[in-house]
Amino acid sequence: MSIKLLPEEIFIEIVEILVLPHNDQRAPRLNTLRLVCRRWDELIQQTPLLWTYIWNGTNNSYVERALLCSGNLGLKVRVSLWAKVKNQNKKQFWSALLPHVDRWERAELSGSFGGSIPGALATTAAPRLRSLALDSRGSQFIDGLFPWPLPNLESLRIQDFGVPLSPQHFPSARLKHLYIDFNRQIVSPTLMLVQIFDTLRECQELISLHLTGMGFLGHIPKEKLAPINLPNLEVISVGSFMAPIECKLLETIYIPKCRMIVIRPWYHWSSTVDQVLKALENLASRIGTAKIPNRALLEARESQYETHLECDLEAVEGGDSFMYLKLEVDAEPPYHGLLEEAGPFFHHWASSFGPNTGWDVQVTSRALGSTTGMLSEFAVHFPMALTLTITLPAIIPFYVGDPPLTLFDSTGEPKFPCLEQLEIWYCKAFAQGIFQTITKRMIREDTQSDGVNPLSMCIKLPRDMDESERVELTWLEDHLAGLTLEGTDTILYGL
Amino acid sequence: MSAAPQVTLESSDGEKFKVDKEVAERSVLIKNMIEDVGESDNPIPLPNVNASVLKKVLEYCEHHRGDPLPAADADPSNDDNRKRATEISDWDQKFIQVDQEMLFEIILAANYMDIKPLLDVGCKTVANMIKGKTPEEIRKLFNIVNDFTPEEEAQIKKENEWAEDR
Repeated sequence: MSIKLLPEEIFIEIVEILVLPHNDQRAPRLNTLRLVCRRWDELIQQTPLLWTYIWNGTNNSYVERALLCSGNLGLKVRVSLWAKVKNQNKKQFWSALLPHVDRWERAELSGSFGGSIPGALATTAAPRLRSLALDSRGSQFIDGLFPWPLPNLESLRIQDFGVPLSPQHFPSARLKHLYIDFNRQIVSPTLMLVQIFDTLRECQELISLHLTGMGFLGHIPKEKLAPINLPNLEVISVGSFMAPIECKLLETIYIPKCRMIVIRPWYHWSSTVDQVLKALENLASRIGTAKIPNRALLEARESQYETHLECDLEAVEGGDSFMYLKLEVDAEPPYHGLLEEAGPFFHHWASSFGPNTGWDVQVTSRALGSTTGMLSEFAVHFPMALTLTITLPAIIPFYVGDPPLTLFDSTGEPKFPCLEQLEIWYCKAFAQGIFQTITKRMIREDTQSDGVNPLSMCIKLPRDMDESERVELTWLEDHLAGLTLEGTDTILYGL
Repeated sequence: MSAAPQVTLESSDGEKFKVDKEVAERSVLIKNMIEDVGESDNPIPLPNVNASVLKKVLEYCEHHRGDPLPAADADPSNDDNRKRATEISDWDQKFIQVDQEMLFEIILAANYMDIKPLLDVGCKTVANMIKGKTPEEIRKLFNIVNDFTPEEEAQIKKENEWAEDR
């Protein structure tokens, strides 16, 4: 069996993977593949699909040949106007491509689009265009691109692109996926909140909506706004802008089919948590959690700046009541502040998803004190955790005498009695706790004492851990079901 | 609690494999056959897949038994995105570290049994093998004979000069 015997459609699939414009410099040129043998050459030449990917990093002669060889198939166009892109003759490139805008099926346009291009596009209908991504990375405000006649557009991704969202000119008729990220400062009029709301009201077929960034400003009306009904919306993600804007949006939308909400606020927790909580409560009554399998995700992060407490509340997929909790601390304590304030909030959320809510807990920290401290706090607030992930602990153990990690209290009882999965990075300061956990597991397996689910444990090993400890763990892995060791390239101690 | 329902698969060389129905149904071909024929104790014949390949394919299906099945997606960008993601998960990479003959046999079996994710892994593996290689290196890798006449080869090379697409 050799590659020569593969069916043509599989060979073409492989070539298609290779010629997709994915920026992999190692990927061969289409004509390089043609040079392998006569069969490859013939198959490539006879397959219009392989010529439908066009980007401006190519020689213009190639563009012309691709436009010809691709027949009447829809084109996937990628135009990147950053300086590193090879094609120097932009005018010739656009001259070749613009007459074929009616064939564009998917387009990614990034870079600074000044001059006559936006105007030329705006006057040319693209009836086959279903997916459009725009990214100017804050380099230039563009007007005149919309109204671009895009009657069948289903997916629109806008990143730092100063497109005015006028409801009359927005391609909302068939839009199913809308992603707007405005994280960079742009020298342009900001996207006005009311303008966005009006535009959203026109997007009746939306399935997913993502709004992020500080660029969404403008007057926030105090009065209650007319509702935004998005009857098919399943996923909504908002974040990184001011809490009042998030609240206003969350108060205004009606999303009966929603199965996932992602909220990533960035503000002073204590001053705004009540507002957000209220908006979420209001929202919870409108998303029909009883009907849909639920999964709730919360993510909290405490930054090194005490005054900028970040909290990410991530997602609600309701129902079978599962809660994912991720707490990330970048610096030393106080971690208690976050937990003390956020704890009741987390519980409130948990209770809204039923009494049997399960929990995932993930702890990320660069400091031992934070990790062990957080674990203790977690055990108080969230003893029902089912999975616990402790990632990359203590790369820099700041303080001698940091408390050792332990998953058991002073009486030997597990802090997380329901735990089913544990993933933990090995480090010397955690060794005692890790070996203690393994020992208790072995005792439990030996005695077959209870109906508690067995613990599955994965330990990630730094490259420079002590050989004697490595041998000991390897021996244990051989003798204990459910224990796996994963080697890593990370150096913990040699820093 | 009752045991999970099982089905028996029979390879081209007559070896029988009893597996959980959930695992076997990672194959759309088998899923459709079970739906068409109904529950039966008779083995399901797979005349295009020999035992060593079937064993390997079932190992893949077993590992991915809980994964969501691929579905038609409304977002048109997803199909391209899936193909663009040439990276392969750690487990899949280890799984597919086989000799070339077995690799192509797995690809053929995945195609025949209609297991799209496995076919993807196989195709991406071959694509990754090709990346960064010259035509001569690709020929050597796959034992392909250069059957161009010198004139034909020169002609394509000439086209390649202007057709610089990377």
